[in-house]
Amino acid sequence: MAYLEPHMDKADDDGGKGRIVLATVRGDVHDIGKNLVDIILSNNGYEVVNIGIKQPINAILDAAEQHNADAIGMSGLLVKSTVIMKENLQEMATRGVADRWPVLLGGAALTRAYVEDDLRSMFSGEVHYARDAFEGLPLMERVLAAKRGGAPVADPAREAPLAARRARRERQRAIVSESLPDLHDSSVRSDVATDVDVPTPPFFGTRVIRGIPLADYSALLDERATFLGQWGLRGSRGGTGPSYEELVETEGRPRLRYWLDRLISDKVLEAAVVYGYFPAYSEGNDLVVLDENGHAERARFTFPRQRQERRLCLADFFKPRGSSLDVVALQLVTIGHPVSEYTAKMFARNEYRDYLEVHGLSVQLTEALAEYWHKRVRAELVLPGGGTVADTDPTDLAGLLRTEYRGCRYAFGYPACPDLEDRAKIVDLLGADRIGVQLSEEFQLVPEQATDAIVVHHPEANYFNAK
Amino acid sequence: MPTSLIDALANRILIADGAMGTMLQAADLDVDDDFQGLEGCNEVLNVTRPDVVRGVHEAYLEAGADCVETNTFGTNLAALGEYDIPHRIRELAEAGARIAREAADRWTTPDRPRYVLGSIGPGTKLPTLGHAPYAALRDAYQENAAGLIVGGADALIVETCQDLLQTKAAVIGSRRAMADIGRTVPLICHVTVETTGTMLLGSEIGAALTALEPLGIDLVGLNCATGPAEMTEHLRYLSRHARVPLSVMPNAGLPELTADGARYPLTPDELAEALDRFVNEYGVSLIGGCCGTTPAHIRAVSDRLRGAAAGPRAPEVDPGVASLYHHVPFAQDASVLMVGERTNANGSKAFREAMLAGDYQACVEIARSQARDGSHLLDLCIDYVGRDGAQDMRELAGRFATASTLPIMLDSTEPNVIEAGLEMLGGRCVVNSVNFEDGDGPGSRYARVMPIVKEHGAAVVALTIDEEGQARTAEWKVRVASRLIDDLTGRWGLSVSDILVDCLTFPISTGQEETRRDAIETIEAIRQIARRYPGINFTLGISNVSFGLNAAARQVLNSVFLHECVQAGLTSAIVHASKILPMSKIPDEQREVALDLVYDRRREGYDPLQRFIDLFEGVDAASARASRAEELAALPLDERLKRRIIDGERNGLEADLDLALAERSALSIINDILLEGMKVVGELFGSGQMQLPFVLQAAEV
Repeated sequence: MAYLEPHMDKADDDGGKGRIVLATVRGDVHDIGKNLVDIILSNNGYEVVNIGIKQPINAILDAAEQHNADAIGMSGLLVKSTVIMKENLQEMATRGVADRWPVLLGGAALTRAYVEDDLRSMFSGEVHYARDAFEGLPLMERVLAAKRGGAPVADPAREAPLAARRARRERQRAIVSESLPDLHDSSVRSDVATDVDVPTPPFFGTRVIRGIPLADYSALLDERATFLGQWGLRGSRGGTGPSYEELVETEGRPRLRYWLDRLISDKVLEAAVVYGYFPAYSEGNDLVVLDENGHAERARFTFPRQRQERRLCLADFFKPRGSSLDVVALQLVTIGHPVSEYTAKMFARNEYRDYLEVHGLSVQLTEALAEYWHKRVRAELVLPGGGTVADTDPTDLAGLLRTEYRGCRYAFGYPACPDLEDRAKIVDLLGADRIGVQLSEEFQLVPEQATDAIVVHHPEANYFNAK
Repeated sequence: MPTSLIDALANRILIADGAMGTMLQAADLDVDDDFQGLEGCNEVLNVTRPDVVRGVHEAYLEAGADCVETNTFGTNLAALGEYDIPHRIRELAEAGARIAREAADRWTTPDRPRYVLGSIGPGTKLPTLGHAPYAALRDAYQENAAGLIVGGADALIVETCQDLLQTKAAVIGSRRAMADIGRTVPLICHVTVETTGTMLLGSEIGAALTALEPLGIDLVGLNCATGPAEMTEHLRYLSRHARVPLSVMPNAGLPELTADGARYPLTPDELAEALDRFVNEYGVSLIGGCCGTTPAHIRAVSDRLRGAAAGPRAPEVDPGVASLYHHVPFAQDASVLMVGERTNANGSKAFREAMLAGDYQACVEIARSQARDGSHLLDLCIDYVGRDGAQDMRELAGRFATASTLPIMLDSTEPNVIEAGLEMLGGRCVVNSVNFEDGDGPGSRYARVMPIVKEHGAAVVALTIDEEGQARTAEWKVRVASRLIDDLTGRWGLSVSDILVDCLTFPISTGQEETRRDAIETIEAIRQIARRYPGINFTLGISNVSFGLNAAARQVLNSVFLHECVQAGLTSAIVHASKILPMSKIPDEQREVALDLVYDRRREGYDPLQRFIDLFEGVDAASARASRAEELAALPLDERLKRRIIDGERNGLEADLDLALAERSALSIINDILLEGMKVVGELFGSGQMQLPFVLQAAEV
């Protein structure tokens, strides 16, 4: 395409088959999904005005106005972004432009039901869900056809059962919320044991770690998450194409080796960790983190409690106030800033496959580094009877990825600790700026290739959903 | 006779001094008189103002330092070259050593000797990046070291190293000076790890240790760039893996920029506390300070740690080689060390043609493809009749040094070509190879190559060839290997693990009677040598075994032969890694016949060689790709462009587009051809027959 551009007449430049403004919504820095949509649509003859990440609704509407767009596409990976998208639609309604542009929504946290039930019911204009870049393509075709006087995109025959489902869900939701206790009910505690051995950390306070060899943490890379989840190496369905296992051999591992070689020789990786151990105790639904001497309160995290089943709350994995002090580890890891610029250059040079692969690998290497450091933390926590928390670690990577070790690592934004604003406390306690990690206004870690965690040593600690 | 530095370190830690430069800056000095008009050239003060320099040493000795570093950080080619006085290296180094010697001697008492560490700074030239030739730097470091030794230094400290090739030049220059003067002093080697977690050029600490330890250093450690906080992980690595004692001299924290310039935040007590931890947790023996540290810092360190013993260490040595970037162990989990064979002008036509055409980028791409295919090491061979081999080796080794993370096996019959490669590579190489073809007497190739191997601390491939020729039987192979191993470890001081015995592979595919047992003899020799020399390594050019067979047959025979050799103890193999099949992927019959061929299990009416050839009759693995290119070329232009989109095939794309542009407009090409192609891609993806990376590759077209 780029080769032909100089040969195009000005008159040819009519926006092709249609024009869409694409943006990642306010507060969200994730752009891989949006950029894939850009690649696919522009390679299919649409003109894409890609205005970037963290775009407030004003900027999106201005761009749509300025470029005389036919449609608007909004993207976002975070759960919070789904709320922003809803606000954006409300804003469009308030400004009376709901009917002017059809809106296409996509992103990992969105569901078809949320868009087609909840959002469509509150928005007078057209709003559609696209599961991935390729669903976006036919959707765009239908939206534009409708706009130019063709059949409406929404099919009335399909709308009826949707409405019924919506009503059913509403009723269900009402019943649940009436009968169950509040998420922040702190009058009860789960049956998590309070008498487990508390290990001794090698120090209290924080330390900065740099210079972790790539081979050490890349050995903990989750290949399946990388190849399937990030790179899309799905085995062919029906027919003669390669299976996932074949793709791993012919594409996945060779490309992985290639990229590890390049990322090092291009000096893209700057792995760094800041972590620390603190005396701590629980108080109701709160985890209270104390200073190095176990005196003053440094931070307090309030976690939700399950409304049914075991009534678990993350705080329950720490000894309650009044008994001996417990210990909590906090960690924050990053593979550094350079990778963002490295991938941005690939996108600008139309190296789409490289862009997808390196971005995906960078996300998974960050996870691998977090896994590696968590393993180190377990090995540093010495139990009263001798030995360490790591003594019961599984011997293979698969076991590690299934979290078959003692304790658990919780990152903010997940169901047991959903409150992203608590990140500010971790960033502050650890002094994350010492490894170049900042917190955005929307409580996201910058660079994107960074991840934080509360590390719990309690043997019963595992992932659970508090809702 | 006072206790030597090394003996003293065996019993207790020693404390070195702090920063020199900032102390000199604080003195009231005149540019014309004191600096001889060379503003900022601190080393000149060694001859103009020895009193000022000595005053700094005295301040540190008074504060409790056991060792002082000479004021010679800049007596090297790059630094003095900037002042146009490179000829004064030796003079200023020797003067600097004498001043420190006098000061140390004055503070020495019978129960407390004080030591002079001759400082060898790096200069600003990075030979890995081609800033200066290795040999010129090495010779200047030799001058520097000679001056320091003659001036009375108790030890040399090669410090603040940012480039492993520069470090090697300094260490080897120092060794040459000791040999030349006939006086050996301990050699301390410090690398500088930046805040990024690697050395300036990207070297992990593991690469540094593996590259430097075999050069013959007495202590290894870190100085400068960061405070102690950022050094812990590197020290932990050294503590766990270095054979030699450790030394560390951090800055007083990371500098903070203030209105008056950089300020180092770490207080004396904080530095002492951090060094206390290093001594106890990591067993560091020699401690001191770098930028931002003062006599007050050293006093606090001395008050806290004087006379302390270093914490215990139990290092686990992990034998291996290194690229500029990382350490690669000889022992690979779940695999042998794969040595890529495609960067060989004799073995790969593509590589040879690229090299002859001077297309070095193409050579680099071949190296990268070897990494992608699973190689752990690159065999680099540039030998080609009628070429300047040393020049070709410099061009290619210099590029591979930074462009690939794979360590290099330098493969040449010419000692000067091997040396040219070693002088471009800061990591630890393998030299391929030595043998006793013309004996081991003076003038033999063995006697000419080994001093080079030894000086550069390389590992070496030992071929089982002696004066009688290539060893064909197991007994002969074992006999030659033993003689080689004994000489390499005895006379040349290599450790057993640094030797990669090559028991030789001969084609078993010719049908000649005398070749039938060649595979058996090689496998048996490997088994016996592995048993006799625990820790020994091997390598083997696997592909030769199947010479003359078709590609599909070779792939199976090579894979089966490699598997059998690994069972016998083989630790590395020179192969095309992606062409090796796991045993489970080879059909039973093919595997069985290949095994019969390897072990020469002929029976009445059954010749495994003939059967093997029959099995692969008409099967050719390599032809698939070629025919696809032909198929593409045969399509009509429009179809061809569409097919290019679907396959993501860019080679020849622009020529096709030019052809198309002669017939129709760019817009028409896009709408009628390229978008049609993308539509097919979209359908394939939608139906699950195409994966995302290929879709994106199509979009790139």
